[in-house]
Amino acid sequence: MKRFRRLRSDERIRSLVRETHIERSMLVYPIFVEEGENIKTPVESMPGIYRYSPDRLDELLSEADKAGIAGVLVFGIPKHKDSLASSAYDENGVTQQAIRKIKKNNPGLLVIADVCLCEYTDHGHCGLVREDIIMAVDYASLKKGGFMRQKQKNNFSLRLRVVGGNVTAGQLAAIAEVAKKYGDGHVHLTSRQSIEIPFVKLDDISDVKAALAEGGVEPGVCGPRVRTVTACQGSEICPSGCIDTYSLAKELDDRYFARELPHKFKFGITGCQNNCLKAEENDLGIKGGIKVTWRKSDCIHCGVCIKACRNGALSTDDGKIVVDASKCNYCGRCVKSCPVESWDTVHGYIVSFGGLFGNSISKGETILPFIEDHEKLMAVCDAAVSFFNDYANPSERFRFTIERVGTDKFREYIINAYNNA
Amino acid sequence: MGEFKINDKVDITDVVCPTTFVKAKIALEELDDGEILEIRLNDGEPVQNVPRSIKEEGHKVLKLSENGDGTYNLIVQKVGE
Ligand code: SF4
Ligand code: SF4
Ligand code: SF4
Repeated sequence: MKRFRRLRSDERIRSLVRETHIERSMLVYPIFVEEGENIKTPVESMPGIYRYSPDRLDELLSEADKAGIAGVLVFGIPKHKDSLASSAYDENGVTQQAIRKIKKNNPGLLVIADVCLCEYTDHGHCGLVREDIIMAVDYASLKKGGFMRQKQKNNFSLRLRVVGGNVTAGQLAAIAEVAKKYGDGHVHLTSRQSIEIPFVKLDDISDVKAALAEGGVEPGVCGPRVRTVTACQGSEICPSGCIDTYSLAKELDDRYFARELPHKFKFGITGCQNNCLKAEENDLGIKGGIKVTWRKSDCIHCGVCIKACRNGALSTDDGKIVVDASKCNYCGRCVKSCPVESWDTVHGYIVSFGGLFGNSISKGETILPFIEDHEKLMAVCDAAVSFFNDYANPSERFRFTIERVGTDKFREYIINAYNNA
Repeated sequence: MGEFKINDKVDITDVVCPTTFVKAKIALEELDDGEILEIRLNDGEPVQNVPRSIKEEGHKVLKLSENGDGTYNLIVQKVGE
């Protein structure tokens, strides 16, 4: 018997039977990024390979991009190394800077990041060393989960999830218990109606979470996502309230809380023009209002409303009460002071966009004077969040996105969402 | 002011918020259900807020009139004992 064999003796037969193909589109280029400026240092052991600083990456990236390879694998070389690998989760760490740059200038390239901690620790282990045990700690998810790194090593301030500033007595008891047992016996009330438990130890994190969960308390969030939804007491408690701020805060919290976005995003709700919650400080602020129409039939012509209006929007004309719409700010004081409620009312919302009250300060701007319909309010909130998600650069606050992309374009986007809802 | 039969008067132009409302409230307590109080009050905060506070206490505001000297008269009917 003669057995025929297909030996891979020439190019054609090899091409026919080849199982493993390597193409340019399957290649990934490793890049080494060093913290600093204007750096291009050869790596002796790998001829032709260099370490670049983020500002000089473009030289390499455009070439890699043009060559048609799949992407790049980023190895960061931080200046600062410590036992907690803190440069690994520093928002402005060298790897983070490099990735932002690649995403911006060469969005077509796939980016693979080296996520091992050894490059960032001073002891060189791929995790954290604690009492001779090496632990892998995911700092990003700790921060996302509300654990804020403290100045004191291995201590975290745990931020809790609070909606509209309301905490039940039962929750408070559980929080107090945890602060006593796992913290140093105090809590901090944050500027945005949250509670933080400082001095929680790394080792206790899961016990703390479990103890809080038992008391109906969840951790909050930090970082680039939708933050605590804040609210004043609103119409359920406060005599001046024009809207039920707490229900609305719950609804927004259910809809958006912790959603990942290019930067932090804050919602704040205030019940009336007194603005106790300072709506315009927020990326999206909502203020309750009442649109009023005088009802002739019940009016006893007492004259109280005219004096109660602080904007001089009311006057009498031949026994009628006339509202000057150009002066009315929907505060509802006329209705609230009228002895016979001789007014037809529509409760609604005044929404402001792009408020900032940190390093830069700007007041949120109103686009639609008064939103009566709840569905339309939600459509407008959805539109603001998606505009931010789609147009913002990483680490850019909403205000600056609106200004960079264009106030007119944003206005149009919001008005469209309003009209189509 | 002939249209209402005034049972008592109180002048709160000599005090400031929140004593304005307190003084008016004490005067109302002296009255019986259905009796009428005339309150003299200042322009500004008092005239903006006192009528509303009286309404929120459950009494009936009947009339507010200007005296021409920067003060107002508020006519209130007591509701309840
Ligand atoms: S903003 Fe208005 S509703 Fe809210 S607490 Fe202040 S006065 Fe009350
Ligand atoms: S809602 Fe406020 S601003 Fe408008 S008329 Fe009434 S009191 Fe005046
Ligand atoms: S407060 Fe009411 S009853 Fe008095 S004048 Fe105004 S609308 Fe009429």
